[in-house]
Amino acid sequence: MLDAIALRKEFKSASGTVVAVADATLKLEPGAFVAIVGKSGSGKSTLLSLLGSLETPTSGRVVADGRELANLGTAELTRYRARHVGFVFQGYQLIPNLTALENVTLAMEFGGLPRRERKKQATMLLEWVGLEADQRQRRPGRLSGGQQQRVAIARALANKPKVILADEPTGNLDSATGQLIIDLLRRLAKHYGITVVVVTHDTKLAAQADRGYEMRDGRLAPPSAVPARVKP
Amino acid sequence: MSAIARGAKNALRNPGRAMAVVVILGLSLALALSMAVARQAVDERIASAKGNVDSVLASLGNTLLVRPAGAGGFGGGGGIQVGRGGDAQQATLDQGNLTALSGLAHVASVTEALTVQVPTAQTSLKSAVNFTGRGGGGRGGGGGGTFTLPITAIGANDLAGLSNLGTGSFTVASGSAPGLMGSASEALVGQELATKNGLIVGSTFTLYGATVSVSGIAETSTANRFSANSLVLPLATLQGLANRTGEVSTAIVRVDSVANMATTQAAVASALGSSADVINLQEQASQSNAVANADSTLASLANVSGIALTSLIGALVASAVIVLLTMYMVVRERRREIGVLKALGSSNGKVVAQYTTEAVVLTGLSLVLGFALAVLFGNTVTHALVASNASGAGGGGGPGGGVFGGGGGLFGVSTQNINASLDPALVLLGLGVAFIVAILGSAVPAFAVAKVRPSEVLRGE
Repeated sequence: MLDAIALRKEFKSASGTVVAVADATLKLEPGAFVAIVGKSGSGKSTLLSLLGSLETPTSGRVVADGRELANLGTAELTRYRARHVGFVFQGYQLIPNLTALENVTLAMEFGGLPRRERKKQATMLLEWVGLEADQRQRRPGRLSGGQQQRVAIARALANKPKVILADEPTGNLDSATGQLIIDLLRRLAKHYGITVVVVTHDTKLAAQADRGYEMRDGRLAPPSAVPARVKP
Repeated sequence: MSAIARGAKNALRNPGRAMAVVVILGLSLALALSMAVARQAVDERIASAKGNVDSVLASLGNTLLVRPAGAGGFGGGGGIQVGRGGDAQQATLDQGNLTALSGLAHVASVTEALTVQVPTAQTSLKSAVNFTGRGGGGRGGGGGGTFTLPITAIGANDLAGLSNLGTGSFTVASGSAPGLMGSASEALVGQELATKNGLIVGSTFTLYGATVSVSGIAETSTANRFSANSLVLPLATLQGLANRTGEVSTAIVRVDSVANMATTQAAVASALGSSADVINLQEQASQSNAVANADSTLASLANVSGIALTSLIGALVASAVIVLLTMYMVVRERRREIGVLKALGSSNGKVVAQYTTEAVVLTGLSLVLGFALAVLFGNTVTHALVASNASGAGGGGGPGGGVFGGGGGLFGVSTQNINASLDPALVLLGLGVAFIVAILGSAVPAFAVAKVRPSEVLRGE
């Protein structure tokens, strides 16, 4: 269970204080597949950073399984991110000089999985996301966008996280491949009880989520503002 | 794959850039190593030369030379030129003087010597030493032109202490020394003079019309050409041949202890009065051109050592700056990647370790190149450094300048033939220093790594 309570994030800039997220409250149950839509600069990526403990809120609280993240030290937060949260970044963000398999085992190293188990587990994950055997030893530069995104999802799953936070997971993909990725994420939520939060500007894609929110000027819009299929 | 392994792999991620960095950093480290090698070689030479100077001065510590007043030094302006029919008769020490010397307190021994530069017409021997062009290096070097060094005949009642006459030392190499206390027509001949005249033990030559046989050949000091062109006879023999019966040009007085030098010197001066000059060899050496030359050469070498040290530090700082700039550029390029690592749960320490390893690997590869270049060119760099920054003694001294005349070569203080080599201790030191350079060079980039926020990866493309 991940709860965001009255989250607020402000940034200082030359022109004054910018409110990126204003009083956002979310309750994310296990197995929930939630979409957050919004235009560029609306604050959706900042909200994702707050949920994933990449940023500290100016005010408000993030509570994960009863633990308030603000009370965790730097090392505990790092461990929390490694073991409980899986990130799927915009543009894949795979390490270019590591193979697909090494990109996944890298996350396992940070999660503390014993060295001897990493390769086996990573192979299973890559197989599950549909990456062919001959593609697992390739570097990201020799994989297609869809294949790279599958590797990124496998990496996010490396430490069996409770939450997956995906930033524009279909942003660089054609619609067919994008649909395959969304299906993959839906399966994770539905069959494995993982909470999946997808940030996107594509309302058509967001419509496939169990529940949807729209970010507008840092505020989570009321459900009425979200397209019918996206309503919570 | 651990952070260390990732760092090592990343070092060659961009082969072109890695090679450029390795070449530039390698050159910088090669310069640092060459300077370290040069400094070590020069410092060794300084230590050795100082030891020589101290040793020579110490050996002179308990010796007094007693000469007739105004006689001057051998080989200097007051050289003794005496022969049958010669015009000038040099003042000599008489038997009374010598008896007085032997009776003084603290006098351990007195060697009596008569030194004569033999006119060419008075011997069948040919001089073995010709100087052409400049004399020896150093401030005490002789003048230009061609100069034939006269053959020196030394009559002595003991070989000990003859080196203090300014002729260098004599060591019997073959045959034997003549019976110096007797009056036989025998001579110990300097090696170079013997070779020049085809003399071996048993050969004969003429001196002042008499036939003299060679009893032995002497090895002579290479720093002083006088001994090479000299021969030693019994004192009485030379006195007789040169018509100088009973005359002694120099008394070499050994004092029983350095501590008694001052009192003995005063006692000798008091006993002989104004009829003789008393020379404290150590004092004279300390004030001589040779010591001044040696000091000057040592100062030059110390200057070279200082330059090498400055260059060494400069090259190391330059190396650290190269590492710093390279790693700073790498960190800036991979800012997003660093954010990904942190977002995935890598600690700051692991990321810093990864980038520091990358710097260490690049530095290590550069060090291999640096070592290779230092081995190949270290000696050349040392010679160039010494040649362009050191002045002073080159070789042995030329004629002139008194007892200690000649260049700094008399003390073995020379800037020539300083050979540098990379020894294992320096290799280990190089490895250690390069490691520190890599750590220092990656310190600022590491700080930049630590400042990267993982949320940066979620910002736009």
